[in-house]
Amino acid sequence: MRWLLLSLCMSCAAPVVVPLPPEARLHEAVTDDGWRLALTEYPAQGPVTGPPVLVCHGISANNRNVDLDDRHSLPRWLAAHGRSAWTVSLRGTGASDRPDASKGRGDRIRFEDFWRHDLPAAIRVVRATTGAATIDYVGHSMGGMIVYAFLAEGGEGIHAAVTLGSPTRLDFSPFFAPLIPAMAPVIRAVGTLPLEKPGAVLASLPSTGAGDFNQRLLYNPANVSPETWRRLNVLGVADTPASLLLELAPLVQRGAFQSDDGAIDYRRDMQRIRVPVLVAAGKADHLATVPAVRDGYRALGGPKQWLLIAEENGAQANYGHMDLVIGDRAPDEVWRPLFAFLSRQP
Amino acid sequence: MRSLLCLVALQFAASTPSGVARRKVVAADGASLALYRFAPLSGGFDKGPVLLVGDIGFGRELFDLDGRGLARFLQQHGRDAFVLEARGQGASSAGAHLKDVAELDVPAALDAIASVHEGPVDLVAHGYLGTLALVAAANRPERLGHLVALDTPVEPEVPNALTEELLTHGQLTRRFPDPRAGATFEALFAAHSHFEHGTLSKLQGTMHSPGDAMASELLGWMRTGDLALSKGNVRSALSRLRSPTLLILALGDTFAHPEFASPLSDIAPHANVRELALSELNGLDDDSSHVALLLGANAAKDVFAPALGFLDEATSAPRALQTGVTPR
Repeated sequence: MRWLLLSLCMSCAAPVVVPLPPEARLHEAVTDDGWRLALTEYPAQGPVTGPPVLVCHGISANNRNVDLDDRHSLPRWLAAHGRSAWTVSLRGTGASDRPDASKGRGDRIRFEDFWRHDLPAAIRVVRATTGAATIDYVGHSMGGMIVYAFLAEGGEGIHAAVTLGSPTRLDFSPFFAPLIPAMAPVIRAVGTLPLEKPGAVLASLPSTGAGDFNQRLLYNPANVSPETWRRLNVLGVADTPASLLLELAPLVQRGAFQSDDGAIDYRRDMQRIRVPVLVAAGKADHLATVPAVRDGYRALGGPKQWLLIAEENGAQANYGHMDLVIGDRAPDEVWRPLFAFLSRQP
Repeated sequence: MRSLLCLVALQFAASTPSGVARRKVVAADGASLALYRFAPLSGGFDKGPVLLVGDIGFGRELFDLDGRGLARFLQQHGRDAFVLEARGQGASSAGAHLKDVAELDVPAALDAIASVHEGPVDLVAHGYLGTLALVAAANRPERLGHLVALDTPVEPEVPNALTEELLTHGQLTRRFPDPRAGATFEALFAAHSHFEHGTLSKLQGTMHSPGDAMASELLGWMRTGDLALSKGNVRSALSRLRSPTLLILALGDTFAHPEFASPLSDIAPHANVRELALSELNGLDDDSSHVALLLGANAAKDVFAPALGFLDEATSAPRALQTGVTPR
């Protein structure tokens, strides 16, 4: 009976599709190790006000995670404010290539692949298409960690960057650390954590205890409506490689932001970064807690600015993790100050 | 010098609740400080003393309000708890310089405790004055045991416009005795936290102005990120901290942001800092706040218990006994 119910729910969840608007242009980037990545461009509306902006999602997500619909899309908002705005789906997510051993694309996707291969490929396409010498970048969650690593290890082509809820350590909470040794064998055995379809199923169910947990972990209902949350779970969630989860385990267990083999200490190398960075954190973010995000801010060596999205600083409610990209008031409370920061950079 | 510093007079203030003794301690510059003792109810003194230092603007009541609080908790669990009102707090003298808390007041309290306890003193330090208590601990490691730091800023910034306004115009606590300032008090010290009925209004009524000079110095500390001491500054002093430390962070704190305190582990690498972040994600009712750390509805479970567990875990052998008490 439970399986029948689950099947019914999955079929109910499937049709909630919000297509991209007609002005969206699809592009493709090919990484230097042979993966095709899907990019979406929103051309600048009106006079151009600055360099193109590439907006990148976080873990377990795809490009729709930051480009949900007309009201909840940073790239569309940026385009409306005179910027050529782009999204990318990192390898293994969205319409980008998935692992396929027969084509030489193994399922062992690593964090290093994102900053070493995917980001440079996306930057190349944006620059080639727009003619821009450099681009601006906004990364949410792991998307911000990617630009930290990219810039720390000498990456070029970025004029200014913004990170939203991007931690460089995750060891503050005693909740996650004990889970890792317990779950590691299971995660390894699974290979890829299937989150796309279960996400859609959960989104179609009435709020349960699981919904409450999601709220605590991922968003503040004062900022995100149930409808928006459901839509995000249908459109913006991606399966997650076990290899990536296990690679990020040291971040949780001991706050180590480093490469898989431990050879690269990203946090230490962040002091080399000279690109201006705005680091934004949500006061009610229980995943990338404010101290965890601030740790990255401290590590940056160049021009930087801190932005705490909180009631005490004028927001209507404290911001959770996903609120930074899908909050109903994010356009005024988050995107406007980040745009002001980008616009100020020489 | 020690005899001068340890001028201890037994005074029982008529208003002091039962189970508490108030003593006058005189600092090296003559400042009069109030030191409250919550001796263990069981009478045993083998678990060692704990010194409690609360944040600016608050007094003893932060640790003992209507018979509830960390001082009482420790007392009930066999600890000899001492609450220091540093200069500018409660019944103590007015103060002019924040550094005096680190260099004069806490050392005077430690010396007073030494007159009745041999062996190390554990410390619970709260907020900005708590940071100064950590400095004192760094300066006298031989006197300190284990430390519990509650949102003790080590790299502060001005947390928000409200704080800047209050410190600039000397209103940090001058405004709060007015019950109509309840919303401001709550926004600054108790946002989104759970308290038993009446706790906040009672606590608000006990706030004491630190004076314009200290308020101005605090604002300067926030604006520059560091505070000058007689020798060096707070950061350089804390780099010498060696006592094992538990850092408890209230993610909802709007006065002493937790991200101002979390760099302690980097700044004090020899202190083996262990961190505990209070978060709804960990099954708590809220993310806690500046005063919820000490008087929140769930403080006993979420803060006091882990704090005591940390203080207790280090010593497998009984501490040095109270002077004059026959060892068991």
